[in-house]
Amino acid sequence: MLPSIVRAATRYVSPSTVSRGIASSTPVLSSHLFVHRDTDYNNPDVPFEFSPDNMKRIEAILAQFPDGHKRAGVIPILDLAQRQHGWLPISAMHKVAEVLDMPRMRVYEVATFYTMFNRQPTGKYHVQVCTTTPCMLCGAEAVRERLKEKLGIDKGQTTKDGMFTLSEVECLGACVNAPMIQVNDDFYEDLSLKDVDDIIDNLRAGKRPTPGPRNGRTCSEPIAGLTSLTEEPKGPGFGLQAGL
Amino acid sequence: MAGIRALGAGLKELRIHMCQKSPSSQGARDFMESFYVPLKQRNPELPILVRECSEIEPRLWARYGYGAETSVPLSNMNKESIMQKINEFASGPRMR
Amino acid sequence: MFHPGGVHGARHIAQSLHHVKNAIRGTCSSKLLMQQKAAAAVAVESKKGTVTPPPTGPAPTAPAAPNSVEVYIDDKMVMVEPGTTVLQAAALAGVEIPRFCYHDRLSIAGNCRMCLVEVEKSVKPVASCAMPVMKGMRVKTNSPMTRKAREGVMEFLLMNHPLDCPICDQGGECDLQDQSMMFGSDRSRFTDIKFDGKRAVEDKNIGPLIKTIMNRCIHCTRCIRFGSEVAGVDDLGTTGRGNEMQVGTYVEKLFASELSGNVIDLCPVGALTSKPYAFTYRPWELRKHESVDVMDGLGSAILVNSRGGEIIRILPRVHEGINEEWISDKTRFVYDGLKRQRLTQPMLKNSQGLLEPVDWEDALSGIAARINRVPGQEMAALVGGLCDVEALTALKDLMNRLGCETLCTEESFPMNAAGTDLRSNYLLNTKITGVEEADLVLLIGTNIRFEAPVLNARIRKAYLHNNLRIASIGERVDLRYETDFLGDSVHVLAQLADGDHKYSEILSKAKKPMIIVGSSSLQHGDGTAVLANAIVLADSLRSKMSSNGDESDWKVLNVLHRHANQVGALDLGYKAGPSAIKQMQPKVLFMMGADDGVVQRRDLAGDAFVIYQGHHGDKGAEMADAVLPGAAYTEKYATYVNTEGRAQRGNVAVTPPGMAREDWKILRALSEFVRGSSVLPYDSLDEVRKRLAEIAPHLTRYGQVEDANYFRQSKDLVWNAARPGHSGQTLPAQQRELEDFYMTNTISRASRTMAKCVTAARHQKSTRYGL
Repeated sequence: MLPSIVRAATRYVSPSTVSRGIASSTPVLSSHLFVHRDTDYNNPDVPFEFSPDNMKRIEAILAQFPDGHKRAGVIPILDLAQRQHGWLPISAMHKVAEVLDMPRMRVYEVATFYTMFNRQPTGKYHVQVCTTTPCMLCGAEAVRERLKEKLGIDKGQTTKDGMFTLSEVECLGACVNAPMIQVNDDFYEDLSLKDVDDIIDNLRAGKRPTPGPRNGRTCSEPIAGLTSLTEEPKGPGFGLQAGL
Repeated sequence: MAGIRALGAGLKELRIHMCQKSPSSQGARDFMESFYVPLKQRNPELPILVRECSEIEPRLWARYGYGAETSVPLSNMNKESIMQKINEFASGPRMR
Repeated sequence: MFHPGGVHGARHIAQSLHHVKNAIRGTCSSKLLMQQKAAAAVAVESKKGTVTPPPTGPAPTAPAAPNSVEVYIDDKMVMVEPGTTVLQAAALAGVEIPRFCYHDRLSIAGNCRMCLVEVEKSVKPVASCAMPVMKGMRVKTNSPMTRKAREGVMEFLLMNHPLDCPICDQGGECDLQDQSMMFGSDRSRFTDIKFDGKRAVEDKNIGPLIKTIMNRCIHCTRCIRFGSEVAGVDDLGTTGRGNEMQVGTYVEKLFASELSGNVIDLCPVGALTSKPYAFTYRPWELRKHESVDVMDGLGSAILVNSRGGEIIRILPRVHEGINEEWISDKTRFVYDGLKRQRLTQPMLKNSQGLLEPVDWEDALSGIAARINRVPGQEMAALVGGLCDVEALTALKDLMNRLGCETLCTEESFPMNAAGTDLRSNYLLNTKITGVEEADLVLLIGTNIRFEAPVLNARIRKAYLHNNLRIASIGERVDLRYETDFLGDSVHVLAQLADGDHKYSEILSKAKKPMIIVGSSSLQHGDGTAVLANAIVLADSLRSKMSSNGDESDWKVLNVLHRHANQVGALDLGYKAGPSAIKQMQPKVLFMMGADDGVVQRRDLAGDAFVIYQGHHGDKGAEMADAVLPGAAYTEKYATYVNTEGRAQRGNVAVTPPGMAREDWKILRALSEFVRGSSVLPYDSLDEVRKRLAEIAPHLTRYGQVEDANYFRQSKDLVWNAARPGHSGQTLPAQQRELEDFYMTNTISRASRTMAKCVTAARHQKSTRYGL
């Protein structure tokens, strides 16, 4: 009996001596590629010129910065380019570099650093679902799945007609009104699944649904009425000693 | 200026070595300031190589045809004596 | 950008640093270990016994300037200028703090965190590369907190670093290896390999010279800072952020700089290594030979590494006066051209008109027989730009003894007026370091970016740090910094010389102007006019300076030569330019290394006998009737004089191939065979060098620049003669684009690596991303 116990004991192999399988590498934390590959829709020949209105806006932006520091305007101007074109092809980055008289690499650096600069074609409506903790607790995952069904695409993809892009983003700062989505610059908060459908249908029809909470409240106040700050505000001098 | 003349075809190359700062080369430096330009104008085809180097004894080298060369130290000589030496050298190599 | 102590301060500190730093690679070696032990010993000693006051008095290396600040590094006091960083102060004290991203010639990044040291009264460790010293600061570079910080940083760096040491070219000279041995922990806690593993990054293609394995990159950003500050080419950058950050060019682009190879030296790990010599060596098996580069006129200090009789690589040596720490790509990668197209046997043309290999005695006697038939006045010699001064002397002595006075260089230089009599006419008189003191540089007819890349980097450094203003005349080229473009022909220069141009006022207000005339502009018809006007302009600027009370020795006129030994040849008394040969139509032509094709067969007499002595079979050997194989610059003890007039010695790294011999020895042997009393009077290198001193004494003053004077005399000679007219044509830049840079002399034309570079540059130019 003793030998068998010893044998059993020696048969137990501690985890650190398990032979290693093929080591994997860190999963990519972002769905974006940080090198540029020329494709037929994204290459330096894609035409991009700033519209005359945008050129005026550029001048106004650059007027804010001192002489010789035009480079400081790269972020607002890249944003302008993205708003004009929908996303940032490499030719837009080249144009921005030309307008600001800075090396192209510096523009690439800025454009790849910020996640809000879309370097792949984006639909007309960029639907961004927040799935961070507060939203998740309030059902953001259901919202996300519903959107996937409704639009017929997975997160990170764009619909074939180029109307919608669905992405899953980090906290958008509307936690009290969870769950919520952001479409372009508008927040749609306090969503139910029906609201999701309504929003998408409206967008498809070309109408802009009213941004904001969808359950009747104006912003973040409690829906059942105020639970604090129910009295008239106290006047100035409240709580101060008489001598002041 | 006295003494500056065409030096003739026998002399193929003149080399003047001098120091930029030391007192023994003062004569050579004065020679350069005063006599080099007129000498070169009288002898535009003659290479007069001026090679300065710090802390050396100033020397005058003359090269003739077929590789014959003579030289003489120029320490503490004044510019007129240097000019005279050049004129002497122009007439041909001599054993010194 | 933060540059402590200004350019001069940094240079001073850098000079002291080099006493403790490994001159070739990064920072750490066994020397560092000894330094650390010494520092620790000092620290221990001072703590032994009772309270001992720290040693007073200035530290050995830094002289006490009036506003010096005292700093205590491990209880050892040093007095430093205010604005020095803790890391530099520690280096002055003899303590070398480990670092990856800090480099004394680049701006401070502070992102590797390896230089963290403990500073008393500070809760957190301090990044010593970025923290300026304060009075009374006490720094502990060996305390437990410092050691823990270093181990921690090293652990983080190694977490994502692949286990590539056996296959990595940097092994043996890797900063990461050295510093992890010295400062890292001895055991690893990394178990993540079984779960997520290490980060993987794709390799970028940045050209045929630099091999990138970006898995190994530790994001120190030295390459990016080098590209944007020193080279002026902003091709490299960081894309993405956090764990996704990648260093690269974002788009597939060549790192289009003529100084690109220097990032191989800069990269502390094996992320950027050399593609031509990948997987061929380990650094400990190489032999080092200090030598001088001949690819351009600057004479950069190089280190030739060889193993088993072949050259494995060429690295820069630090020389503050010439190339700082950089060398151009041509210098670095051209050595593979030394193995191809070599002349290895003496050859004579036989009766069928074909060159046939013969042995030395037959070759020399055959040549001597032809020479003896021809009087000296019908012979000539032509030399190229890669010949050493000893060979030039031997050739001149031999030819002179035979009665020949027509010895010419391939490269022209105006011989009118003072010509090459006065050294000040053809040297870079303000010296290369003068660029850092100047406040205005006028470039005439030179694409200095490709003709002297390291000098261009220095001008760029002065442009960035000292507000140097640069004006240029000549074909419009991109120098990687802004210039005031004045015009493209001599006409503009003539106007400036007369004081008649809009820019004349700015020129005359400059306190230390420098005029750099490129030798490429002196090659063609307008060359005489260029030099004459430059001399006149320089003289007028100089007299303005003295009338403003400037007593200094500042020389305004400079000439930048493109060939390594043009200055040496002119110092010896060679005539510049082949016009004398073309006029004379010699019957015997001795070509030594003359491969630019300026003299063709048709310029010679019909039955002329051409002798070629050189190391590569290029244009010169093609037209030769007799070929004598000589040695290249890495195969002989040679003297080269750079464009400043500095004589430098090159050393033997490998022996010449086949039956090739050192050039002066060939000429000495030939002198035994020819007629008359032509035997050269020297038998050893020392005797040759004695003869060099007889011709020009500065040729044996190695490493020093001798001042040349008599600018006024030169100007008088030019002024009194009629000022040469000019055609008003554009002064062409002979190397316009990057693809023109790579193959300019016989060695680089034979190099496969250079050919790949030309292809890559042409390809890049044709893409939509451009160069």
